Amino acid sequence: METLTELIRRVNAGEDGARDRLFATAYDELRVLARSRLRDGGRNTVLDTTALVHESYLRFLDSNQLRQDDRRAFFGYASRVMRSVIIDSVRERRAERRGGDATELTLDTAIAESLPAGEQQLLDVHAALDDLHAVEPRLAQVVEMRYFGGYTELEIAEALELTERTVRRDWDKARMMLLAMLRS
Amino acid sequence: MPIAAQDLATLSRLLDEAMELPPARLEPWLDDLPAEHAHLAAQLRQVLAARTAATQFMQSAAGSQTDAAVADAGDRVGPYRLIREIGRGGMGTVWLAERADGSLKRNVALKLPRLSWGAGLAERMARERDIGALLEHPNIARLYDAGVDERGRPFLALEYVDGVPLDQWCRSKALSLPERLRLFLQIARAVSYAHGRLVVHRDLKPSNMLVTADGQAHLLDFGIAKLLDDSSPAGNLTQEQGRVLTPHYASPEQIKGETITVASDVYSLGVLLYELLSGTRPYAHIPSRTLGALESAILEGEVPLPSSRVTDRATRQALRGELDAIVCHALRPDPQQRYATADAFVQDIERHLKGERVLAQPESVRYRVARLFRRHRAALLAGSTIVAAIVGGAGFSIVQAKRASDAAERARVVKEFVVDVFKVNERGSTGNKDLRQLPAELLLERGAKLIETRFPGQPQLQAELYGVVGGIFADMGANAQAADYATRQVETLVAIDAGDAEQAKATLLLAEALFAEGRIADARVRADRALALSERFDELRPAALVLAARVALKQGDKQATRALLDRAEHDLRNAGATVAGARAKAMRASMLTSDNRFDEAIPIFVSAIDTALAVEGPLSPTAIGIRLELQWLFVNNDRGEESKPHRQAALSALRTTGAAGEIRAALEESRTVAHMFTGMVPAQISFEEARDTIERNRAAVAVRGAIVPRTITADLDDALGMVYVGWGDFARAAPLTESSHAVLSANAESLGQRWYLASRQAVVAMHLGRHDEAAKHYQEVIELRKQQGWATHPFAAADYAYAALNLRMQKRFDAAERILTSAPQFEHLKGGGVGSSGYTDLIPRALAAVHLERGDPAAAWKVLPPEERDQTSDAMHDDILLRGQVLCALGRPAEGLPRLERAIGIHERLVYAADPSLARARAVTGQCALLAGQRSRAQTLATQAREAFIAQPNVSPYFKAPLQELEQRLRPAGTS
Repeated sequence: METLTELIRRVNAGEDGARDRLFATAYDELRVLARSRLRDGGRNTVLDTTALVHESYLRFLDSNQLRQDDRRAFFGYASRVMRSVIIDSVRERRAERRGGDATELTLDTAIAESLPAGEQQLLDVHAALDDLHAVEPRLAQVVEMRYFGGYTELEIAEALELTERTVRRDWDKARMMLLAMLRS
Repeated sequence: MPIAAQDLATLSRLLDEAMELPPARLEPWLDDLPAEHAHLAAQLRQVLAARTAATQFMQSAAGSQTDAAVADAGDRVGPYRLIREIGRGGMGTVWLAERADGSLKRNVALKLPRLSWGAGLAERMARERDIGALLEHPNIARLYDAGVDERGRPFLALEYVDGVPLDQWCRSKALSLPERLRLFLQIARAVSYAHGRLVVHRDLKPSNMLVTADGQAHLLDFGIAKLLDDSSPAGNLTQEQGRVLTPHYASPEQIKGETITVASDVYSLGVLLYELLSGTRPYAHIPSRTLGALESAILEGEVPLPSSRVTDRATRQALRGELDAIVCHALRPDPQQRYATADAFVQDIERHLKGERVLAQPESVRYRVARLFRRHRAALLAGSTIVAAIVGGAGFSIVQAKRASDAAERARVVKEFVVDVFKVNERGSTGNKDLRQLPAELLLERGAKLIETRFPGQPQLQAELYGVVGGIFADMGANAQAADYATRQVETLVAIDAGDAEQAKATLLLAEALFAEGRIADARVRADRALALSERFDELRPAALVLAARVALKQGDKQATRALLDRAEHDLRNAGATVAGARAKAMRASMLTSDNRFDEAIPIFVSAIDTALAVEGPLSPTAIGIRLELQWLFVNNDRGEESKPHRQAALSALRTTGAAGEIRAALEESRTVAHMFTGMVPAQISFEEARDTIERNRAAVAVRGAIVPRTITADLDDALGMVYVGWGDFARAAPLTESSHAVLSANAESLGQRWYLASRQAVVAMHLGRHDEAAKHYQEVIELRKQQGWATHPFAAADYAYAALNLRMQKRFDAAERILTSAPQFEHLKGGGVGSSGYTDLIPRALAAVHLERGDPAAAWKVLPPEERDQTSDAMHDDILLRGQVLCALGRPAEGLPRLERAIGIHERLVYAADPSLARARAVTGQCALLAGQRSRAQTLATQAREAFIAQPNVSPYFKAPLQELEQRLRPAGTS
């Protein structure tokens, strides 16, 4: 079983299939972490993906060693994984709680307050994100990395080769678009 | 109606435009939208108008909290109006406020918490309000109201309590034990009341307890802790402004992130009681360089008994037994084993006060043994991002490394951890060096560089890691590296504007490292800064004061030293056994010594060592440092025998610490041994033993190779050189001293160091006939003594005597006399050994020597101090020789010669056969023998002297002169 560090080295060396193996290994780690955090019933507000990724061993992987495009791919990948894992978990939990029925509600700030733990928000954003991606792929990517992946603006900027200011602007705009999409 | 795909694209473009516009221009712009986009106007308007809502929308998932509600005096927050800010913390701000409608007279404390906007905020606030209504108790600050205002800011309206934090109150009023207990009971009863209403506090600590002027305690923030916990991302009670405070009051289950129950409050109450009774916190002795150490200690629950922390006998007796047991019962790591309720806690204390039997029992032996086994399976600490970060999958932690009772084990563990975690192939590294072969320090260096590159954009983490690495270096004695990383830590903390306490600790660590390195001027700057930063913090201030005192003493500023030490002792008087206390004692003893009161100092030193051992264990680094100082002082006072046990203990402890400890041990041993050989009284140790010890140490250090800093090898060379000088083998000494001094003088910082170098250089130069050079050095030597504040210390007499000798050797007798008469009146050496009077007699003897060599033996005789009745000490051979010479010069060879013979008899046992001063002494004796008619004896002596000068030719003509005269006189008459 290769360690992540070794895998990174291999990716750098340009080995065939190393990147895929890296992602496969990373996936398992991420899943474990995501589930363990979500299992924590006490803190039911937000999924706190920031803390999640902070605690993630992956973060301390010397991903600086990856070349730029590999790193971008890795971050992007991690965010995608987080997203799917989180959504899966939310769906499972809801199914457990309600005996299987997950009614979709539209998002409205007033209603949002009465929903458990922003879970609905997660599901809604998840659904809308694909639509957003079709029109504005970069915005969607920023959302995925920031909202699900929990990366900071600096990290996103580095990974996507943007300025922090652009990232912030993208984030603002993306949220407005999502808000519009979810309210209609 | 969902937005169509093509509309999305348009929406995106329009938003781009809109975002560039100033708010005032938005409406007109919306009105002016072209017809085909008009249908989007409604949505645009909504989204843009609710931009604040959008700001809060999805903010929670992103994890960053909305900033503390920005507020100003006069603002309306719900039904209240802000008057002035009365508190600020990471959790938010607290304002004094009044009802805006003026309906009620009382003012409230309005808390504006930093909560992230999340789902259910308003709901939660309402819940808090309900809980607050439940709690009506004279010792609980009322929560009147809670809600969210129109701007979306959450607020809590609390009863305004005008009081002083509990710990401060107890200190300022100097409350007696029963009074403290009663105050505690107020709190505990309030907590019990709340528990009865199913409300757990979760964050009990003295800062949450205010005492009003009437002596009533008030508990604050009931239930708020839970509120904040629910909202903040990591739910970590101890997080404030992204900094992590030391969780002294947190229960083990809180640290592990498990459910909080009534028993958690009991635990916190236990900590509070501990502090009230003993004046210290249960884990005050854990070095808080890393978070992990403290948390680990809490999880293990090894707590020293409160009575053990108290210095005052009466208090200690009062605490022993029942109160100790009560406190420990509340502090059990397993919640099931504590008092089940605060009420049970209260009742047991009441029983104690009434004199009835308490229920708490002291820990059984079995319980303690069980805990010892658990110690080795300390779990990873949740919420400690440092540990998690570094450990990853390695399975152990820095915490374990630092606590390993066997310090050699520790070095190994650290090495392994570094290897395991930073298993990065350094690009560009040559060869296949097996990482495990490299010394620990080198690995740590790599690790530190990795901290830099691996965690960019996380200065908090970096700072803490620098601190950890620096701390490990310091413990191992690698001071330059410790200073390096401590500097980085301080700079990082300054850059992120970290809190004063954190900066103070880091700056203190830096100052200590600089001091140990000998960079005294730099250490002074940092020590002053550390002191300024720690002013407010009772637990930090004493250590800062003690260090500042040490620095001041090194700089010769005795007045400052005294003042600082007095303050430190004042601060520490109630603290019980602590490292700072041990250091303060040692400092006091050092000061006494520098005031020539060594005898009084000795028991204080010993007490300091005992304290350090009690706090840090048998391998206590503090004890090592004090022992080394003490043994050095014994040696300096010619009490070599008494120095031995301390030296052995210190060296063996150092050597157990690993690579750098060995190096340090090598250095200390060599320096001491060299000094023992060359002190005023020779033969505290034999030449062979001194030389062999140092050679052994040099070899041990050489094995380490390039890792060892040059100053260390130079120090060892210098020590060996010193031994050769004392032995009289200047040929061997000269290259050693020359090469080492080149390195050492570049780095010499403290007055003491410079004195050392100057005096050694002077002696070598003088013996090799380089008298001008020697004279310069002696001037420096005397000046440095003055600067050190030792001008009248008897040791300083030697400086003058040597300086005069140097001049005598040049036949500059007037100058020599001048120097001697200008010497101050020296005190008698107190607490010195056998040869102690030798110091005070140095000046008159030197004066006598001047007269003698000038050709005035009568004057010399007058000046000589009275002869010692009992002249068994080897030290006296110089004196005996001098007397013998004077008597011979006075034409009394019958009395002079036996003395001379005796002197050289002693001398030749002590030095190298080719020692120049021995050779000179022989020649002088030969002259006297000739005078006494013992020609063949004279001849023998002349031959011996000649042989010596053949073996060591390059010495000052002063030594050779008497032999030349003697040989002249021994030549058969008629030859020239």
